[in-house]
Amino acid sequence: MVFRYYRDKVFNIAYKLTGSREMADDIVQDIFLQVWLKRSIMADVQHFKAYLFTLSRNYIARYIKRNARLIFTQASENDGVPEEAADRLLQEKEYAGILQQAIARLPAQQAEVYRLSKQEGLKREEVAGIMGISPETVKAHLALAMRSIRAYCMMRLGIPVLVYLLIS
Amino acid sequence: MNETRLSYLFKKLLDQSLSPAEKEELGMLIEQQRDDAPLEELIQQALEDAPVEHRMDDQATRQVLDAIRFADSEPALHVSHRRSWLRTAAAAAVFIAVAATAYYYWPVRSGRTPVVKVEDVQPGGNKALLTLADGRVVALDSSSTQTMQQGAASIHKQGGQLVYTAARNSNQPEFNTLRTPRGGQFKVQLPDGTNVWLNAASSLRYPTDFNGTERLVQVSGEAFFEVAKDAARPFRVAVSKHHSIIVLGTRFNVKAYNDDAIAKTTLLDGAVKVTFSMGKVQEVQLQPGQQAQVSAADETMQLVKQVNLDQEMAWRSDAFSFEGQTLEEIMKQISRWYDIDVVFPGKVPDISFGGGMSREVNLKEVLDFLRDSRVHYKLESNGKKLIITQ
Repeated sequence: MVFRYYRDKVFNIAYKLTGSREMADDIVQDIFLQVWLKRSIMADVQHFKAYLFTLSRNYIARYIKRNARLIFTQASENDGVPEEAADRLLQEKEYAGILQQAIARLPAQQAEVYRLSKQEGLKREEVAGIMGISPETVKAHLALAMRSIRAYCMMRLGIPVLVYLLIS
Repeated sequence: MNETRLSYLFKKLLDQSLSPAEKEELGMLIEQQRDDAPLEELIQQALEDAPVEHRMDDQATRQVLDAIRFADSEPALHVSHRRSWLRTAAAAAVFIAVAATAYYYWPVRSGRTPVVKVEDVQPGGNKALLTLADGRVVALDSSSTQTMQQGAASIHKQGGQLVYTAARNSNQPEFNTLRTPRGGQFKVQLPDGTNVWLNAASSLRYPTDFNGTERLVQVSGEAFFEVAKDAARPFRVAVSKHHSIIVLGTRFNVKAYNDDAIAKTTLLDGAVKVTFSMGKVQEVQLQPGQQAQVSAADETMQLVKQVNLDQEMAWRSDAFSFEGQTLEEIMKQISRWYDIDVVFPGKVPDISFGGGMSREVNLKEVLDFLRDSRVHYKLESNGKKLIITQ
């Protein structure tokens, strides 16, 4: 199908270039969010494919350039994304405010999981114990929370910031 | 020099044959480049040409789409909200392209509360009426298995399909008509082994045995044909008195609804010849991937050299394709599949859409979707009539 085709096209290249599913998921999310944001200046959707490819090309190029060290100098099987850059960024005032807004708007359980995991620095099992839910549920809530925060911040801070914003 | 080195390493990265040293070198090249254009061009090429070997998993897709919805649930600070009609239209289209993915992956959504309560309508399914030669009409669905005798032929129904088996040397073929209502689809295997899938609101008339020099059937609406090879007896599909398709062994789709201005024949493989004899006599032989478009009103036939086969064949994968279609065209698909009347009391909004969605969902899912795309509507007459008010 048409939509699956676009999603897979972008994901496939993002994955081949970064070697990380997580980064590729982020790239797909960022690109589709931009499509959504740019909707107001897109007059001609007949050329959706050309538009999407141009946007993807530019974004992926920027993403891998900014994160080149991370992508190309570590062992390829490393699927993790370090958080220092983003955390540093988010600690700056303007960004911190938006991050707080995003957290405040999360569903209660997701917000709690995020707070315990990210701000208190607890392990998944510990969070699970405190909240009385399974570690798998913690994992799922955390993933959703991080994705939501990423999208929320991107929508408000714009694309240039987001390239640095490796919050997941 | 750098550019060609970049291109060399980039290609090796794509097919995963980079050594660790080369990988590091590529990282340095990318990080230090002043001009992003060469890298962008390589990525563009890869997007267009590289085989898709990795796919995003469903859970990640769901999370991504949820995140986008989450982020957009209140206006972003820096997005201006000047709305012109064109902008709204584009927004609708893009949203569909994005959101369609979500719907595709959750045919059944839970925990969603509708703002307005509407009567819901089930999607179409396997339903048809079979008219026998003597005028008797048999209602078909997928529930039971039965065998009927029709002259010298026997008809076996199993699930959503009919299979004809001709007795040898039947000298008097009789004609049957298989007709799907709106909201129905059905498959039939003709006595020569040809398979035909009928989409909603379509019909196929055929003999219970092909015993002449040609195999002739008549079609209206939309049907997909997989014609059994038989060089001695050419297969012909008559779309109208003036318009027919001569088949040379093949798979193709015919879309010729009376309320569509254009009748389309799309070839998947093999070869067909399409003839049209209104005004002057015209004939075109299609190659796979090509489409013949006949307009009875204009008395013209046009060859489209490359069509989007995914889009044309979406119905065979139980999906709607909205790519590049107008709202009116989309509403026709919806009307045929959900068996509802769609009316536009005012001007038909001039919106073009992208993407697509599963057609195995209830009507409400589709309507939610339209509402999100800022199409305004009312559902009346117990869910039988959809009024598009904007």
